[in-house]
Amino acid sequence: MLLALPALTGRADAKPEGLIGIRLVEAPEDRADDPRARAYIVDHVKPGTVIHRRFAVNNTSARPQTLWLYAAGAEIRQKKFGFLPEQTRNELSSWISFDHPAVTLPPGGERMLKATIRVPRTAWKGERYAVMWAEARSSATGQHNVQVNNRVGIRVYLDVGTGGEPPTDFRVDKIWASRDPAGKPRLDAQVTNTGRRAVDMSGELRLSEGPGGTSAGPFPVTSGVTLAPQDVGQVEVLLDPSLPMGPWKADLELTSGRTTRTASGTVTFPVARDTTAVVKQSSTGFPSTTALLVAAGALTVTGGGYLIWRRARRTP
Amino acid sequence: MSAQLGTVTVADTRGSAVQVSYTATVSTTNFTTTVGGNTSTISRPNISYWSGPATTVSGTGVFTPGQLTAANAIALTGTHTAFSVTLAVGNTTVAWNPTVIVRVPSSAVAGSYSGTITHSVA
Repeated sequence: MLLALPALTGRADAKPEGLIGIRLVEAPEDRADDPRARAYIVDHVKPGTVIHRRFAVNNTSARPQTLWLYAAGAEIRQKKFGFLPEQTRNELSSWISFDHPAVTLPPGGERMLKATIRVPRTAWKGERYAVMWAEARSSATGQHNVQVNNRVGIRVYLDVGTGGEPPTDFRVDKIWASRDPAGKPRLDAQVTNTGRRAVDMSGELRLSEGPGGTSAGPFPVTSGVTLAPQDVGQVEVLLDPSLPMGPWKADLELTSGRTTRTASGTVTFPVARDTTAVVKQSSTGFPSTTALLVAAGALTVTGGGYLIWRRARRTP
Repeated sequence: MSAQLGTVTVADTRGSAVQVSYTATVSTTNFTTTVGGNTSTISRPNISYWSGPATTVSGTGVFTPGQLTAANAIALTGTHTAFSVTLAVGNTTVAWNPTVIVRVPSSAVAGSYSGTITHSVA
């Protein structure tokens, strides 16, 4: 992921864009098939374990940029992965250290760095959340008394415990079809995290066996939620007002990392606005075989690109 | 007292083939000034933020401002959403030019107050 500096005050300035980023360079071999593990650190370790992960920071702006590195706490709250303010620490962030506290990168520079997560022998079992941040700071001066810091980070979802990794699982409890006040049909599903690890929900809806044998979709899940174990949350799929009301055979496929669950039912979207109809599910909960692909074998896999913060030119 | 902070841009170049969501958040410190050894504070509930609409978007996704208009401005008492991107597939970019409003309490001591506003994305 990448990060950049915004301006401090509204001063017209022709300085080039500042652009800094951070990205994970490696993921564990046993998670080569997990798209989440390419963007985030997702792992399960025993107490007393020390793990190392390489990551890269870069600077694509035209001047040198100093990046400050630190870990800070995170939590899952209100169905979202939330960052604690500033450098607020938690237990997990206190276990994370870097080989450099700060690096100064020349224009166009990139540097490999190493993070170390040292899990104490006394650590209690359970999943913990944190973020490894790279922060670019604008300096406050006499003219600019608001300092603006921009930071980009790599999320860490670390589960501690002996034995095998606790299961990632979730269940679609119920589905309902409705038409919103604007006349758009929508499908909502209530999901319960029945596993022992956090899930980041995404997915899609396919409609088939509709009027005249029509089919439609896939339609993406509009709102992604992050659910801690035992959390109950809701995902929604917004559809087009021109979609025939049905009945349709609806197949909703939800995914977090390499875990996929599907729910199916017969859906008829209500005609009247602001009304809701519960969908009777015909089946639930079989993992999709198509969810597992991607080559394994290498010791590590290369992470994706960068998530970037960029400072555009200052505004007057 | 309000001022625009300058354009903030988030670009996701991870090129994810699966849908991803990300949220940029904003938080602030208290604003303080030290005059003659005494520190005075304008506390966070007096500091508000609104993202305004996106000034630039690119890529495929749903780009939602945290606070579209000044009427939606929120006090920065904790960590708040500045902008969120859902259903993103492939590379995406979003930019906005947020406004910060500092309400100076009538009891505030005169001085040049300073503080730090942090944008975060992960």
